[in-house]
Amino acid sequence: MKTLTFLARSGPYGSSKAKALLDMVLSAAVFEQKIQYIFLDDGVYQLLAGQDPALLAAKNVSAALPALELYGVDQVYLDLDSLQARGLSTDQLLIPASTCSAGDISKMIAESDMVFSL
Amino acid sequence: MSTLHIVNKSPFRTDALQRCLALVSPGDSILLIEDGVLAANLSTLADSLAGRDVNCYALSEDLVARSVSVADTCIWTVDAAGFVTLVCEHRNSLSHG
Amino acid sequence: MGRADLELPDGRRITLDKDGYLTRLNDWDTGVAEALANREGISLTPEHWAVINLVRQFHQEFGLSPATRALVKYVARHLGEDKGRSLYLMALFGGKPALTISRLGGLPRPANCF
Repeated sequence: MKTLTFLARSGPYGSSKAKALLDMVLSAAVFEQKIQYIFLDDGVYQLLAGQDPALLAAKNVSAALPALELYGVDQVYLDLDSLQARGLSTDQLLIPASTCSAGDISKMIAESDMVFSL
Repeated sequence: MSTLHIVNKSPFRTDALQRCLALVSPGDSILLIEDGVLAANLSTLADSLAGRDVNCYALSEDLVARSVSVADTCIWTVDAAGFVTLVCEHRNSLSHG
Repeated sequence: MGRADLELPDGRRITLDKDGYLTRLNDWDTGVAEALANREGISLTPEHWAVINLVRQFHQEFGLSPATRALVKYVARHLGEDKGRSLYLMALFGGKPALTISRLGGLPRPANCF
């Protein structure tokens, strides 16, 4: 089994990066690999509860997050520094994520077989 | 296992380099390409690399095109073939855009 | 009208893509599901309907057409562990249940289902 690390570093709207990475995560999950889905930098905005992009005529990317568990993706991490730098806290998040530091993320990257960043 | 961190944005326009430096582990390498090479002549980059066991490279084609020189002997220049070699020498490549 | 179009007993014609999925998701109703199932040699029982309705609920809830593993877990959660097995879904819908169920349920083709 390979360890695949996905770094979500972009906000949920304004580009298709968040959705593209999510699709990669869900596709990788079909192959039953060890998946680490890490939200950092602007990526932490993807986790915010209460997103409603209807006025943007965009699909709500965050709607899929509660399904991660059904796809067997249970290692979801959140960079606490990124969250706090944006004035956010963990009680504003849609799904539970394990908080971690940049140092923890460095280690996860170092121990991964493949790393994807969007 | 080592990772090649690739930065292609100007340090004056985005924080890509800072976000890269936050995730670099000892034994990793950083490669500056495109506008990322604008960091190559900053002493602050040399300072933040000091004592971290991280090799830093800048792509010579992008340096020459922009007439940027490297500030410190701690930054190596590589050409496109060297870029390929670096990718092969590391287990993963990670772009910080 | 392409060859792949679906003709309903009431005379409606529904356009399908090359894989047999609805090109307009709003075209779906139970009559469309029945006609799609007929094309595939499946006659819909209450057991089929429970799963089809559930896949529509999944799409409503998460904005996704489920891959097999996710669908199996979701079925287990809502219809019981005895039904949350790929063998159960294959017995009802054939060899590629996630694809077939999304097709009959009027959802887009699951993007990450191979």
